[in-house]
Amino acid sequence: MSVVHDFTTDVLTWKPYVEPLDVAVATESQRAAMGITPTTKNVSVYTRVLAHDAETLQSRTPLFNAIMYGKEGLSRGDRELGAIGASIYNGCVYCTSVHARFYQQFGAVPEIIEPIFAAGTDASLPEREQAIFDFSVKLSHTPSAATAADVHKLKAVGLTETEIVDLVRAAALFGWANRLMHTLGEPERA
Amino acid sequence: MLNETVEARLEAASGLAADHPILSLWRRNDIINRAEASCEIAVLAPREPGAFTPPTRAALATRMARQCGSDALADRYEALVSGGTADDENIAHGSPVDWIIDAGLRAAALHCDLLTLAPTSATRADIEALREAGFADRDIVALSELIAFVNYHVRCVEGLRLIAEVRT
Repeated sequence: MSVVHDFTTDVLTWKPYVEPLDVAVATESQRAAMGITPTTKNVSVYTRVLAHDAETLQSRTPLFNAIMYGKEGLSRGDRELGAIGASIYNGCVYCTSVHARFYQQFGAVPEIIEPIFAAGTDASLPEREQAIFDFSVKLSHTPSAATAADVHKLKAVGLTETEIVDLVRAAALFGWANRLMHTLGEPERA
Repeated sequence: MLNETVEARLEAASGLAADHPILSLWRRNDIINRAEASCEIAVLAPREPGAFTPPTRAALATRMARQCGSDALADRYEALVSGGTADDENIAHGSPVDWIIDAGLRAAALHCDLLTLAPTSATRADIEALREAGFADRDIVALSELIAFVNYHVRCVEGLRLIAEVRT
């Protein structure tokens, strides 16, 4: 196994720096937070790490799913691009690999993914994707570097207010997810 | 318990009136509203706080919100620090970590600073440092969730504020 430092769409494994919770000794609330049912076979290592704080995990899962996979509002692909913008800025190789693969499933072409992997936050993209990516990257700065001009650009490429609300949440959510995935473990290639 | 809801804190921090039309778009999904509120309670005032008391959690949140440039949100978190220790006050005021007397809290504040300001540079050594400071895995994960939640929430506040600004 070797640690992966470069952005990739390869399927990676994630090796935690803390001991994942042992499902066999998990409490009722920890099992509930991990979503374990009588038919559950595998619980990911990441979920078992987060189950150390079951109260947060319990609510974080529906929040994450609603923000990323909710049926109405911003398209799934655009949410994934928001997630990628944050993950690239925060240097989360694992999150980027997962969400770049999802993004491809939802229509991203090589002309979008390749420049992002090659140039990172400086990537030059088609106009619509550029506006979404740049806003997500800038919102990920500490403090945020996003401006009204960036929101105007989103409107200029056709995003509605509702869609921009959803993009804010998706990019912000990865300000959260990256701070877990990138800091509690590291990506490896088998 | 928290003295106001996550929604009230967001509203106040983004400077929007409670009846601002953008808020109805922001709150149109009840699953998100409920889960966000539960997450905030879970990181700031959980049923089992472990190594980090609610005032300490609020102090760390205050420190991070200020680092993120959201003074208004930081002020709301700071109102939750009452009853905290001198260390909690120093954490909340953004004092240099050397001023924090308790070695564990010093390590925790340092980790908050790192993950808020420069998450990319976090490594295994930073988790080892928390362990050496005496924290169990559950406390390390709980601290990480607190840091991550605050960094999410400040970006929601800022994004919402920008959308409202462009609308007017």
